[in-house]
Amino acid sequence: MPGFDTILYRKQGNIARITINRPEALNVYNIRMRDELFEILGAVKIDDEVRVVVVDGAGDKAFCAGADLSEFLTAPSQNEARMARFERDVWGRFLQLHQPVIAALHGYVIGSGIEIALCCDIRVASEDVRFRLPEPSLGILPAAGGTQTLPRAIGAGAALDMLLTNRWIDAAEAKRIGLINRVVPRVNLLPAVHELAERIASYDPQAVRFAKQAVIRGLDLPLLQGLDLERRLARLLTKTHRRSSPAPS
Amino acid sequence: MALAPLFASGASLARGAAELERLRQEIAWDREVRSIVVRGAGVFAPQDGAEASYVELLQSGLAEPPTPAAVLARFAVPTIAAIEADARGPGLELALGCDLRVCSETSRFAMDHLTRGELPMDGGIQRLARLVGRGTALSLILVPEALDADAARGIGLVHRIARGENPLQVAMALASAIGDLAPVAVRYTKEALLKGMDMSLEQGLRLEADLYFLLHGTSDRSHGITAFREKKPPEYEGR
Repeated sequence: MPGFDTILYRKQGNIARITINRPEALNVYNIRMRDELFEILGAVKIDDEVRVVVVDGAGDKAFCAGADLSEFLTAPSQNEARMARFERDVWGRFLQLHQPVIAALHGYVIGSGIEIALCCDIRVASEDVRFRLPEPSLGILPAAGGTQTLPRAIGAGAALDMLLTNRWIDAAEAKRIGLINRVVPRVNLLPAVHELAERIASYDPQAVRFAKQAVIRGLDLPLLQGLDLERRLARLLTKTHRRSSPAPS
Repeated sequence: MALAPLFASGASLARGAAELERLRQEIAWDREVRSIVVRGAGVFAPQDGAEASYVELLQSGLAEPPTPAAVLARFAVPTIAAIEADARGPGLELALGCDLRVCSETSRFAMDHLTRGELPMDGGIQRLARLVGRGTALSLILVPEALDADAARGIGLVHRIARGENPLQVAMALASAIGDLAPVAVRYTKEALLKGMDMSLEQGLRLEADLYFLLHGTSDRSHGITAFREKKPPEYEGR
């Protein structure tokens, strides 16, 4: 896809890779990036060739060091800012991808950077990763889903402990509280993520999508309804398989 | 905030909860209060028989009598329990009504109501399961062994262990860190997080966005962003 300034998009086989690409500015998130992510996520969602998505950050220093504060205080009005949030709902698009998404995290992962990582399903980080949520120290809230996705990932207690203290979290603590799933040396980060992506891409794509759907949607349901959903999806999957395999002789 | 002994009788429980509620209402309007450290001699580790005060209160005929942990959980500002000794039974329920928990190296934790033939009655089962997960919560309630401080931290029941200082100092340091943040943003963060956990993700995201744009109307927000750009420490007023 041509014409992106703030992200890179590549497809390698069944694996799509979105690279946050403003290394000169520690990959901070800005309005342009919002629009480009919104466009690419819309395309990825309906691209059946894509079985796994990898999200990483360009450059040595950061996955994403937060939002571009130079663009703050520029919204025409509170109400228009709110409308833009819902009309260009990049976070909703992110969270609604059918395909599993793997984050490859290195260096600074601050504010919106953590929230982007939390829109991903599996988080792999290099040993040098450093997390921080500075929003309440700036008079704002995380508003890319962080107040919702963070406690769902690590629990309300640990989430408040991060959000209310504005401190750095290193790889070891992030692993202990469940903010990241795996830690690898920096040189191994992309190979490890690629290997994980390849493994997921090698599985039956419909089974993978259903598994993600059952987990994500099931978490929002009472247990009994979650179990129903799981059973429905399992049955649907066996039907799909029957249709696509040759008739028994 | 030092709590008086709560669990002597149904009346002391009712009185304690009512005092907490008065304080809660007062603080709701007080811009100067940015967080609360909760402590009290023995209040997190009551004598056996503390459950009897709940039974007495619940049988007193009062319609929906307020209980201390329930009131604590309704504070808009962050609450930090400074657990100087152990936390067990109804005392642990009280600590679970707070947002963050600090303990000493020798603190021990037990949800041991069942050993006395009682159940948690101040939200303990619900709060524990939401905090540490249903499997761990069930095992703590059904097999009430005491956890040491490190084990409690391992399951996320405790956030800080005071090593070489007392838990109150550590809790006060946490409170002071919270005091440096923008007060309205802190209250909204707590609200978005705790209320949002009881909603579907989609509803929670909506709540977060609505609170975020409500903050656009605060002068603290422009102070914070301007101070960051000018590399100066921000000064917040809670407006």
